[in-house]
Amino acid sequence: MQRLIPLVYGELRQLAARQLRDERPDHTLSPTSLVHEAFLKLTGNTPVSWESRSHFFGVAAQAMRRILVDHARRRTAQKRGRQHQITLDTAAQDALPTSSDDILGVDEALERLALLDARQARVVELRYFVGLSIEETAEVIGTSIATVKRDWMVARAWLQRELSPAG
Amino acid sequence: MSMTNDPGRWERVTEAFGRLSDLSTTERAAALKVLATTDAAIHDDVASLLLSNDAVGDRFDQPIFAADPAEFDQPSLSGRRIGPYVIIREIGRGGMGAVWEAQRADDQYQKRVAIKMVAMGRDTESMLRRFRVERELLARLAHGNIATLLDGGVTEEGQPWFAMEYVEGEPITTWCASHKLNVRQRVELFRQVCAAAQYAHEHLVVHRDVKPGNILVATDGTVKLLDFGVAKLTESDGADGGLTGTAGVALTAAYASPEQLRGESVSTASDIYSLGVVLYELLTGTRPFSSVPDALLERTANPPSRAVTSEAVIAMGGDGVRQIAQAIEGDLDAVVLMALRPQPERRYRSVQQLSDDLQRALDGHQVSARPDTLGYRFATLVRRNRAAAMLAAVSLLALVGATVVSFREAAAARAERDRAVLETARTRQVTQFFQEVLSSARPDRQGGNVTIVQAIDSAIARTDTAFADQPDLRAALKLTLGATLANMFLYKPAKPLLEDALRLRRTLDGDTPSMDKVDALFNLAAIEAEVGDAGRAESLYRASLTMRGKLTPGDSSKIYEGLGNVAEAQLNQGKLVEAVALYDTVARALDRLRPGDIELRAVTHTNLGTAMSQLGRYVDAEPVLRDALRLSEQAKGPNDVSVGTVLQPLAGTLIFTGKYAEAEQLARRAVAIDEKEFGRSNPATLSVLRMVTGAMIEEGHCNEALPLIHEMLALRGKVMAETDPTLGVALLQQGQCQAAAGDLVGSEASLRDALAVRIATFGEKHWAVAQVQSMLGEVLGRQKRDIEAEQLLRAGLAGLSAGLAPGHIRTVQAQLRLDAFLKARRRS
Repeated sequence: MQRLIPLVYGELRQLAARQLRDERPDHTLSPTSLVHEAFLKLTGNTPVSWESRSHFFGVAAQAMRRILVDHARRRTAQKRGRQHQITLDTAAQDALPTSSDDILGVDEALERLALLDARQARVVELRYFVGLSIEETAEVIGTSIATVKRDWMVARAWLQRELSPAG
Repeated sequence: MSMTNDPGRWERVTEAFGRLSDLSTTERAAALKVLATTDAAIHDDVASLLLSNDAVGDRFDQPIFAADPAEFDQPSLSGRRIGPYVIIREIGRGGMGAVWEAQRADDQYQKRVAIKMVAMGRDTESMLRRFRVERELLARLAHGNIATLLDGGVTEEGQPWFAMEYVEGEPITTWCASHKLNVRQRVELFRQVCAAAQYAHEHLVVHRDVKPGNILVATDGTVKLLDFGVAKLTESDGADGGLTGTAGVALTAAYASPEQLRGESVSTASDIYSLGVVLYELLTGTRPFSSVPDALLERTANPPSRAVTSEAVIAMGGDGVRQIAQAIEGDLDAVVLMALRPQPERRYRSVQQLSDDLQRALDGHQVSARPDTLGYRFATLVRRNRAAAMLAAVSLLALVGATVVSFREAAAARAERDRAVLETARTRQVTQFFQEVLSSARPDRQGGNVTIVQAIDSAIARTDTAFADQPDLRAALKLTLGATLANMFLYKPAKPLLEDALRLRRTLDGDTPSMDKVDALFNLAAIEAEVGDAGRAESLYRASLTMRGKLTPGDSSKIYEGLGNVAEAQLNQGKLVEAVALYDTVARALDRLRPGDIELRAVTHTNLGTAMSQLGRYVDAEPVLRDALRLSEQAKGPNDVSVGTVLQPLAGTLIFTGKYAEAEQLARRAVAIDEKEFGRSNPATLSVLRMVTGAMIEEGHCNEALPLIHEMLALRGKVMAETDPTLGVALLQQGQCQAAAGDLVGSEASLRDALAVRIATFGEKHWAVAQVQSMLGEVLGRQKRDIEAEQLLRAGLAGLSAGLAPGHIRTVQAQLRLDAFLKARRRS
């Protein structure tokens, strides 16, 4: 599992680049199609067992999460800038929540959720970072649709609570 | 919610949550009551999760990247009636939905319109409400270069639609090609696009999806910009509801700014970036980046003059690549690259500036755009074809050269001639290595492009195998490459290289000081400061500086300059007192050692004064900031932005030292500078404007302050996000003035609003929240609502004492408010 991640990570990045370099003027980056394409590319035409397909999506979700978190980290870092200029107010711009912070916030919150319930954290990874449907998620995890639905609901509510400033 | 060691607990929470979330509100309340008795341990947790569940909306329903346009495919609607219109045919389809040609069903003139159905993930109540608000805003845009929004509504199925002026025309790119426009004509045409964008920005509308498909040229040559502000409507309903946040937008990736791709705040600067991409394409026939990750990684584009394609040659008719490149080279290069800067704040401040600069470039006058600074220029080494690979190599060698200087310094310091000779030989070998790596990079079969990043990747791989028997050279390679990458913000690959370099050097010569170790440590410290831990950054900076001091005892000014970084790292750890002491030492030392380096001294003094002010040492901060102001003016002239950066803390400090009139006057000066630079309705300008009003209120001039406060508050939800610190301040000031005028009800409302905003901005435990609590307590006390008043006054005082330095004036004011309240209560 661990050894597969760098491979899938690299593949996803390349695919993202290629997809966006394509001729079509209007397309956008869809994580789901990226992951599907990466899967096809890595497995080729060889028939793949159901287990390894699920396994792959699990790994891809982690890789996707890492790609997004890396971008967000880099961004937050650059926002702090390389200059030495600082601002007066401790009411500083740094305190502003941004989407980069959101990604990082979700990432951190997921670490904590994984301690409570690893499956619920995986459901979030697959739904939010890869964009799988409830059904696809259930298939990948190997559990019922009802369970995924319930896990997703509670995990969403939990994230909302963890990420709200008043938290 | 506490994490207990109760193993089955979370399962029970999940189960109960699942069961209760399906119930109606009344049933739920009853079930919660039951839960309180059957499983009290999880009751609170479940109750708060249910509340969060109500609040979450569709926040996580869209995956974090942009949505797939395929999801928005819609069936044909020909012949259908939408509002007063009848659909004739589909004319286009994009990420946001489809566009149809239609005409009014009751119109004898058969006026044609374009109808756009906006695809929305969910037609929630709040979304539709926002849709109506936006429609009003857009309908007010009336400009000859903007396709007018005529009408809009919601279909029976609840899907929003727009009717727009039907423009018969071609996208600007194809129009330029079919009319074989030359460079000048293209730029002139493009300035019409700028006029439209500037007009919309002045009306607080950001386009968000500028691309050739949205810029049509009508048969008479008039440019029409379509879909202004429409992109915003497809956003998922963000928690803030303001102008920020684009998660879920199906934006057009190739023209989107880096901040849009990351799903961050979108501003007028984002439109300027997209305009830059369009102009780039008009001039060269190609887009600045071949892939979105390039834009995301904040690389800098090739100058357009070096990107002119054969397609452009054909499209411009007649002129060859060289003539076109010559027409672009220099001024137009600089203008385009300035619009395309990865950091929004470093682009043009307004479309007007961009447009003016284009005119200057056409007239042969000097443009205001400047080539990027050295530090940023390294980032331009993005993509080169084979022919240009050597060019990249040369630029990288310039960087290698910079490191070479420090090798020489080290050598000279030790004054060992033999060693110096060896250093030179070593330098030559390192240089040669990079030359080989870079020139051996070959175009790959697919894209025809070779990236310097690929070259660097291969260089990284080879640093482990090259010079297998010469660890000395291997260390030098890793150091050079690591430092180069760190300069390009590529911290992740840089860090292990620098660590390897350090380890190799230590294996070779133990702890003997060397310039290589100094460089490795310093770069590692800088990386920690950027993306790691400020504490580790501080100790690495110190290690590097200590060693440097041993190597070059004569040059202490460099050490002091580095100590400025140490102070910054301390500041980031919240070690305010230590940071101030160190900044103080640095400022004094640099005044003495580098009297001529005015700019460096100005920055150091500004930081010292600002940190003192943060610490509440206003009396000490004042003269320091006055020095900083004088130095900044001397370095950059009286109206430079950097002067504004000093004026802001100085004005803020003077408010606390009681020099209100001067504070007001300085803050006004800062407003004038920022206004010229960023525009009036810009968060940066507003952050100084609030100091003007703050000083006025202290002087007792609420009547003068109020119009300005209202001006700020009117921008709420427009340029000012809910979490903008200025919003909290403006609300608080409004509350102060209302209380002063005896309007206690109004004041309470303003202060409660301010409280909510500040909690959202800073979190509940911040002193800024406590400050509002204390003021609100005072207002409630005056209404004789004693219990809540006392609670707030005490909470405010406690929060301020905890969050600010002892004896801070804000804490003292809160203490005085509490005392006055208690005294008044005893009397009554």
